[in-house]
Amino acid sequence: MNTRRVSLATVALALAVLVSPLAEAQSTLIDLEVGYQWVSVTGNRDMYRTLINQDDGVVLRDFTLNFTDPSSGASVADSIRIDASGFGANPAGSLRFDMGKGTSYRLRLSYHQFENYSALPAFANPLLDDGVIPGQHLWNRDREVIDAELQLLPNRAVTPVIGYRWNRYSGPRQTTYFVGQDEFRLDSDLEETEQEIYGGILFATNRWSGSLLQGWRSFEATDRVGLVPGAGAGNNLRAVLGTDVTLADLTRTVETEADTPVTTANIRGRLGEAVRLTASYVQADADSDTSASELLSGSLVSFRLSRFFSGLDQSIASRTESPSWRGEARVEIDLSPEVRLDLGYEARERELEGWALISSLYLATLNFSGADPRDISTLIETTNGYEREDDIASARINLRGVGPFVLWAEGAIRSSDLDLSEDVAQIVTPGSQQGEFNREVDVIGAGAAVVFKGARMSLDLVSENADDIVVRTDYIDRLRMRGRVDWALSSWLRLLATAEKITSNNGSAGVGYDAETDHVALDLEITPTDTFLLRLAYDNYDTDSSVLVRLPQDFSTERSTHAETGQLLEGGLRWRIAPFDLDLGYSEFENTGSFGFDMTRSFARLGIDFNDRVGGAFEFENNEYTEDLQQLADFDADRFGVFIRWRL
Amino acid sequence: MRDLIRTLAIVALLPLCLPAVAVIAQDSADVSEDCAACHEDVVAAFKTTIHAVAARGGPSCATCHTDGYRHMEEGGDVALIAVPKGVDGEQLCLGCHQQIDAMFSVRSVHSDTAVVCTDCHSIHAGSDPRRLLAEPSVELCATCHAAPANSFRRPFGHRLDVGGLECVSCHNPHAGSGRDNLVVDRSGEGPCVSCHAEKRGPFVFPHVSGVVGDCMSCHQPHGSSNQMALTRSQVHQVCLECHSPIEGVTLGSQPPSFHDMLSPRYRNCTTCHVAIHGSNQSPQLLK
Repeated sequence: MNTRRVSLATVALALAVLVSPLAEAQSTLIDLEVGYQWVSVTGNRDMYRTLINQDDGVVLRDFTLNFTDPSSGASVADSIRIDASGFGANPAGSLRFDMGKGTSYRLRLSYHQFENYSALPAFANPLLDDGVIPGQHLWNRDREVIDAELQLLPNRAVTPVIGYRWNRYSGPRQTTYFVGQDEFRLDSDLEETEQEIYGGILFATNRWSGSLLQGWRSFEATDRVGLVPGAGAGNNLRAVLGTDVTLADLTRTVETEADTPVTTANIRGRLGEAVRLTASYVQADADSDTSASELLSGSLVSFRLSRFFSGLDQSIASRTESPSWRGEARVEIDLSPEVRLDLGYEARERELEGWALISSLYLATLNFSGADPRDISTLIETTNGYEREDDIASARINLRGVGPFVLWAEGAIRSSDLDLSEDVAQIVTPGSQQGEFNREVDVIGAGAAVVFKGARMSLDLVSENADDIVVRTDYIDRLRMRGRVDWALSSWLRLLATAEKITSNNGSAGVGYDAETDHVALDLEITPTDTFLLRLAYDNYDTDSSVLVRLPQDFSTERSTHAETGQLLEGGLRWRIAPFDLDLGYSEFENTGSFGFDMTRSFARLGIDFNDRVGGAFEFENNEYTEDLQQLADFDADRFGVFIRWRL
Repeated sequence: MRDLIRTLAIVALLPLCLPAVAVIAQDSADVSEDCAACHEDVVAAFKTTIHAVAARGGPSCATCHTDGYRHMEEGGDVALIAVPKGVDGEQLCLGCHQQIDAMFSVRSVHSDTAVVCTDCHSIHAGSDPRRLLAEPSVELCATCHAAPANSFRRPFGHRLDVGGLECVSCHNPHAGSGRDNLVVDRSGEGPCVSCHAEKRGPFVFPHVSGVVGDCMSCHQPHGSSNQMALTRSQVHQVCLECHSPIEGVTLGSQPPSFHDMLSPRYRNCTTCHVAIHGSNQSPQLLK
């Protein structure tokens, strides 16, 4: 993995080295900043890694190479752009490479890597009340994404294009498995890779442009799972019918493959001077196959069989076919220079047919009386499927030139039809998992924007009304109002304000869904000189939701309520006094309600230019996280960094 | 250790391209020289942009500012040079950027709120000479979109401050509003599965996505108070709010009665239902 990452960076940079001497450069900008950082954490380091995940070590803060050659047509490339940042003791890194030569070619490469670490004390942790942390679900996985695209003869009448995308998610995880009326911790080692190669043409004439691309996407995943050493007792220490449930060994291997050819076509252009048209069509037919084998042994129980058993040999073969398509057409008509009418229609359809064959051999079973020893073989064939259709028709009118105003109004009808068919024998509690569900939502909206005496203000309102719900948190009525002001009060004072209110509800008997969100954000920027910026921000966020739920254990109903009140205070200062560059920041986010916490961040950076080309920087950052209910996740972390900067 | 090796290798390689580029980095005259006599910094910055390449062999400054000779003859009178602003500037940009024109003119949320190209793009060079952004991407969006930017301050969600992700990773600033603003991949799917490919399926036993709703039915991608970026702080709330068929016909079955919500074990539904996004092995999403 690391070799590949380094190799990728090497290839990209070596490419730049190779092509650069061949060009007669007109402008080259190079900026490199690299350094070392130290991290000190007190409190829950797992939580720190889950949220922040900086580490001790070398960090590539920034590398930029920008090369343009506007004067000559003889070079291999007339523009090269490389950006790299974040690699090293940082949880994410990105490298972008973009080079091209006028109408000859354009090559784009990018590489992103993300570390994905999670070791939460409370999430899905049935042993939290016993003080056992972190929870049972932990992972430390990496995601890497490569994108590459080459266009030949860009911006000509016909531009051939070929591209490739590679996305891998891999690494260890700890999870749980419910078997025999107990949960056992499992180690998982996963490797999932999605690749897509595509090719086709882009075309452009004076009036029409578009593309026709054919892609082939493949997905491969292998997950190897085994019992965590010492976890055979499970997390439920109570005996079942007098028998202690334990697991001696478990191995499971799951392999999945999916192939999806993807066809994409779009066209846009003009019909006369007053009518513009855009249309697109996408078809993706996904097929997937999975094979899984699982072996386990121990002292286990199955209520489905009404027996104890000492081993299970299970194999699963499954197959899915899921064709889908989506078509969209929009027309935009200039009724006058100030009035524009947009009409659109979109249709989507997706089907799925799933099939699984589950073959299980339960070894050395006994009935609940401890008698009738025998092996039992079961064979379950189950199917699943759905068909979903969506249609969206919309219209929008836009007026400009009404004084300083821009006005718009829109209307849309969104309808969804869903037909679900499921093998009811495999549903633990039959009902509400299959059948036909239809929903239509009518949308009406309007908005206005105005630029007046240094202030830009906008206001919009969207109202949605549905005839039915599919899931219980769907709304019947939803209203969103939003206002925004960007006001340059003077050359050195700027105020930005946003206010938003969203209400959703469904008063139907047995649902009683009601949700409301209020959000206000204020920003003040003070720039008395070009070298000084002071920013103050305040943000208040209130959300409440409530819906009736039925408790499974006694079928009683109660209200599920969720409330949050978040307040953010933030201040930042940037002051450049040659050769110094000072950057200070402080933010405090306090959230009360269903889940209370405080998160405070302080940041300071002092940059020094030793000369025009070389500089240095010192950084300090403090992150403090506390939870109101329990202090299991709290941490206080400092980060110090020293960086060298080189400009050319 | 592996991070150290990786980073040191990258850092060691980066300077290799410096001498090669430095040797050939020389300025020479072009059609903007007349303008550079007074606007030296502006022309120097402009030469670093992709516009300078696009303007090769033809006018560069004059393409947008038109003939500036009277402006020069009159000692730099600003009234004698075209400085496209506002909607006029927008139309000038769209004259060349026809693909953006097609997106921008049809239902662009920015166009409808009187935001024009030069509000975000610095034509004479900015923080990003390729995209001509006036400021780094995330800071630029946060200038106006303070509320969404602040929502990233909540502890659980996507991180924008460590490199890798930007607002435009998921949003298309030239497209429409709401869901129309999301970046879709070549198969017409939203931005989530572009990275989280393993959630794309198809699954024999799918859960929400694809069947009804989408990722945002359960998740808050910007930032959440829930550790899995869920819309509710407690896991069981997210699940039970749909899986409670009290009256009428809604999608979502009733959990069996042994799911005792008084027990912490059952308040964390995903302890057992680990394959909550979809499974090819278990109809109950247990593995």
